Amino acid sequence: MRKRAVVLNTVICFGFFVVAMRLADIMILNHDRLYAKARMQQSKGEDVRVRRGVIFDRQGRELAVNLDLESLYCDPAEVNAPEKSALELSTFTGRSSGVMLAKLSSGGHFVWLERKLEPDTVRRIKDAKISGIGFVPDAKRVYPKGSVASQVLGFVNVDNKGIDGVELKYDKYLSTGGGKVVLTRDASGRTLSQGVSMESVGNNLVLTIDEWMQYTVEDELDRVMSESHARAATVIVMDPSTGEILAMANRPSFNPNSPAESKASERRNRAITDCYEPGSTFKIVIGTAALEEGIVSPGSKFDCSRGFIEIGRRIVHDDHRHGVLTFEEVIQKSSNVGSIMIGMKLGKDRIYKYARALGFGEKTGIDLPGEVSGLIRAPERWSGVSIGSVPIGQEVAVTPLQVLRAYCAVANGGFLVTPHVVSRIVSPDGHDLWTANYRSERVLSRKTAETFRDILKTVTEDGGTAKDAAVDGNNVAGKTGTAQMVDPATKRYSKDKYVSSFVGFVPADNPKIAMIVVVYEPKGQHYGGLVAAPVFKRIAEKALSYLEVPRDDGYKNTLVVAR
Amino acid sequence: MIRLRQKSVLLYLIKPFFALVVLFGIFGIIWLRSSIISMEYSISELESKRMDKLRQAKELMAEEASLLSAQRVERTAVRDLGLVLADRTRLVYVRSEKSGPSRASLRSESNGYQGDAGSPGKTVREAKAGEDIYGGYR
Repeated sequence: MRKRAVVLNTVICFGFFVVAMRLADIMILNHDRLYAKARMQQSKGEDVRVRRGVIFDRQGRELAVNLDLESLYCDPAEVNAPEKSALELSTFTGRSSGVMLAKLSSGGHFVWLERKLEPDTVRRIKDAKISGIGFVPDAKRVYPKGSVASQVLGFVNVDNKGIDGVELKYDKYLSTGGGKVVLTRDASGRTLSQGVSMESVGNNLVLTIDEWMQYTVEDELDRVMSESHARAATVIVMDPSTGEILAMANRPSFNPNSPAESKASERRNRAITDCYEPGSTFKIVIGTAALEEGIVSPGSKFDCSRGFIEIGRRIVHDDHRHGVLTFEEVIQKSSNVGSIMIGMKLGKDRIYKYARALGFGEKTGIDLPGEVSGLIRAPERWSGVSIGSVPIGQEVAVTPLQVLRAYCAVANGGFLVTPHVVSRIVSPDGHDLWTANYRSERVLSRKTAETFRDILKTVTEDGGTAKDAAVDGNNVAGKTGTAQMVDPATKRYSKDKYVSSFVGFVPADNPKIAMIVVVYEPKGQHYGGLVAAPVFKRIAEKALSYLEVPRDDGYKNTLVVAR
Repeated sequence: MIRLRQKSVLLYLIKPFFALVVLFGIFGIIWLRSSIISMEYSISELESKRMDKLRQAKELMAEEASLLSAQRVERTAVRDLGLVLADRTRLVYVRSEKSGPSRASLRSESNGYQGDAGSPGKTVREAKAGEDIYGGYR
């Protein structure tokens, strides 16, 4: 009995000794190696999902949001029966089984099979229980308004990086955070919460764009494109006192939800990337310069009765003979002869000085990528006939935004504003991080701006070139432009290719909106007053109603309520 | 004699007491640890549900934004309902003497004005020609 007890005790002690030795081996001798191995098995590094901030219009309507989707990947080494799996996956994703098989049979341990799958498709693939595949959460940028404001918003690539427009310019604000978080997981792969947020949310942007106005502009652009069979067209609507862009649109355009299906020319924001010879809208330079320098007054007379003027070997014609015109009538009737006479009085140095002062030849500073400076040559590089070309908007290259900005200086009493499309950057918890506050610079005296504004009003009145731009109830001040395009083949001005434009602001005496309409190569009618001015009128009428701007005679319908 | 007896009883009780304390201590630690892990599982599941709800919320937000697009609203208002933008000749701008215009209403064809201009306790007068009607309007 005692012998048995001794044997039993010895066995138990030995057993404990073995266990103790094993524990010492695990916990002391091989601690580091086994600890690292355990950590590797139990922990799982996961990317923090970076959710781009939402882009809102000025009224808080969402223009760009995110959807949480999942992307499918595979570890080819873990895939059993690649042929069968490829066939199954091809039915779910719509990809050819050959492409799937190539991916499933490739080398490495991580291959993307399909990015950003819809939830239904993910569910079906998960139900199929295919070995060696997995899912990674992946956000998809969605533009719920479709192609509206597409060239302003831009788009993102498959990795949600901004590629164009606001998405590119403000990428670092929209997409912040990121990195990796290490999570603990059990034997079956389930993760345990570590109380760490797996999502990093970027800041939101509030644009100056108004969705309704943007849609109205785009609707009218579609109309003018179909009516005039033009090659392209651009409209910008701006608040002349602040530089806020209320709408900016071009045709052709694209859908930012599927940018790959569009051409580069459709994605280009022509309002800031394309230069053109402005034609008569550039007469703002000689007009304001002559008034500012005291060379002319609205009543100063110019003999345009010959209907043409010779500059060296070049002869510049008016559209038709006008006779003797006052300075006001030169602008109202857009006389080339009168404008060149004023330009000759000013001289090339002063023309150049005022052109630069009004922002031509330099970027406007708009917060969008891809803006170009345009071109206005320094006086020493002018040819002998330049004095007959520059005053009427030839030999210069401008963007539609530059022209609009210059007219805004007349509208707001002489200040050159900085156009911008983003008004605020807001943190995810709703705090303002940044608010647009651009400085404007005085470039014209108030008197000059007001005098020229009154002259521009006559352009849309009887005898002016843009009667079709007149809006019922409010005075419109503006200027037409009809510029011949240079034929690349002959290097001469084409006889059938024009850029028709109208730029103006309304109500003329207290402007709420300034707008430019540029139509490239319209077929049939090509005068700015016939092609672009009606577009201005239609958009302005809707915009004034929408903004609840009273008619000029609105005081008759005002009730004052005593409290 | 009595003291020696008391001491042995105390020693007799202390040993099992300590054993019990150690046992309960070990049990408590294990129980706490397993509760924490179980809670982590629950939190993880709840987080997953939360993410799912957030995903649905984002989908709904995108759908709402799409349904409320100016294009769709305009189409419905103009084509389906036959609505038009307000005729500006028939708008009446109402403002208090202290501040700028506060609201606008449509002029009634038959009896002059409608809206709250004639509410009790308020007097109404026509604005004088040339009076600034823009102040504080936008």
